[in-house]
Amino acid sequence: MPFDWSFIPEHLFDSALIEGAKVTIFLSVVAQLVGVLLGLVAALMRLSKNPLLNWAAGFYIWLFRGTPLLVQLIVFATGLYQIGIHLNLLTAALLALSLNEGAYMAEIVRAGIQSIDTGQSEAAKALGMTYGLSMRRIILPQAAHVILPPTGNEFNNMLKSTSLASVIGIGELLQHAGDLNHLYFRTLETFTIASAYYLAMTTVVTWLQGWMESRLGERKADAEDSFWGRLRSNIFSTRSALDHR
Amino acid sequence: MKVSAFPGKRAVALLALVILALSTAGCGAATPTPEIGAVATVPAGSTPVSDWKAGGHANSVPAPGKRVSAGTFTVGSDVSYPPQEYVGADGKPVGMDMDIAEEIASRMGLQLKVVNFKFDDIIPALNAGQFDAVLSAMTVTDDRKKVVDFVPYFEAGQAVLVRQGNPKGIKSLDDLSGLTAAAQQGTTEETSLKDLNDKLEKAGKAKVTVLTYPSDTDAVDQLRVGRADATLHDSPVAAYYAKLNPTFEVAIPNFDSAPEGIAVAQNNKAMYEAINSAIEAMKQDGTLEAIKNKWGVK
Repeated sequence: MPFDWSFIPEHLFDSALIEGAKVTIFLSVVAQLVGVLLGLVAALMRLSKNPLLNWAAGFYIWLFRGTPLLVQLIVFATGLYQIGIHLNLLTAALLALSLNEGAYMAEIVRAGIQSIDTGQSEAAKALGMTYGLSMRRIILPQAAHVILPPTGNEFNNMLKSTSLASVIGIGELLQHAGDLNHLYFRTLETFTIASAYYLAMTTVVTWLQGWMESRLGERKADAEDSFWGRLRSNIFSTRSALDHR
Repeated sequence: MKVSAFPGKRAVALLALVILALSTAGCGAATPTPEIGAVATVPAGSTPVSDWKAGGHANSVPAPGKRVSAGTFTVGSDVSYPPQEYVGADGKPVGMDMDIAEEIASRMGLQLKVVNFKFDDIIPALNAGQFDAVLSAMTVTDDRKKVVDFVPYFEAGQAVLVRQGNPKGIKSLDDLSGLTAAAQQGTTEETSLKDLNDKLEKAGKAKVTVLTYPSDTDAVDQLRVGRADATLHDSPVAAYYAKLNPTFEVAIPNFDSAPEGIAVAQNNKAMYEAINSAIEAMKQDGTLEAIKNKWGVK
């Protein structure tokens, strides 16, 4: 059976696919946002000196990074239902996706925070800043440079991971593409369209990431400018001081 | 409707007697018992009884030359649909369709090879040349007839399965209005639910929340845990679930009866002819009936 090119324009904008794409975007955006927040909290807990907080975060990360997302989806959607925890399907999917994402984000945020020289927090402390204030004003803004690129990567992954939710009965993009496939028996054509949808979505995310990085980069460049400026003036003043001597 | 496992009760009783006599005579060969995962064991009194055994009519049909691989009859099947096809306790595909496939293979003088494949994609895979035929409880529909040829071998309706006691009082399809129903993706049951929703919408009634799953057993899980109020299956499958698992019962035993067929790619007429003559012969000599009886399927 040859590839039927006319199938693509005919079915590219089928309402089922548009509906599916909307669900995919909704799941991805919400789960990623919740995942980032969870990751931040878990990373701070992981870095805290309180052994209980530290252990709890460690356990959470261990559990959700160590089991497949597909298994987590089935447990939240069907497994918990069996023991009387009746989450609706969308909630179950969002919970599994967010909790899984949070575990990965926790490691990314932790790596970001730890990449900042300890002198920074010591200096903040010396200036009388509280832990929260120094995190917000000093550490996290600098760690953002390290955290942002892998977070974009995670979001890109999230858009594709939502396809696993088709297995628990969520009508996202992949499930609707499957419907189209069994309606017309055109597998390659149907999944070419589905791939185009995923590519369009991940491309937008890549642009967004690039834009955010360049904005952060500008600020970093500004900071470096003033740093170099300061250094230069320091050298100059040193030299003049020497000259003076 | 009472779901009777054995249509020809007298013949079966006679057969049972013969087998009983044989086994007490020291034959000792255990009749293979179909099992469905952990649910296991067929209720007492319904042990499959059949004089069918593959290999009785070897080489009676010439094997068509165009095949996926030499020496084998390669069949695609979504092996998650008891009693027609499911994975037995030993991890091998078993069921009525598998026995029919085995019989066809033996009549062609070939070894049977079953490829477990997702139902949703099984027709494109057949046309792409991955199997010689598909035996997967596939209902013959006009849409499917456009892309594959069918050798009909069996008549089955659709049925609605509910939890024991029928808590939502489902007596007709319209009673599903406002409830949640699950089915396997890509099946005629999914189409039935979509058609029902169109009908309910026109009548101004609440639609059915339809959940679809990659395999039929996933859909049944939703009924078991309580997310779905009903599931739709082919009639023999629903009857089998109800028989195996007392927490289920059949609410609507049979509607939209239609033939099921063995699907063959349209560019493989020789294969179609060979399967067709094998099935015709199996109808003539009673083999097909014996296999159906073995699985308690009408």
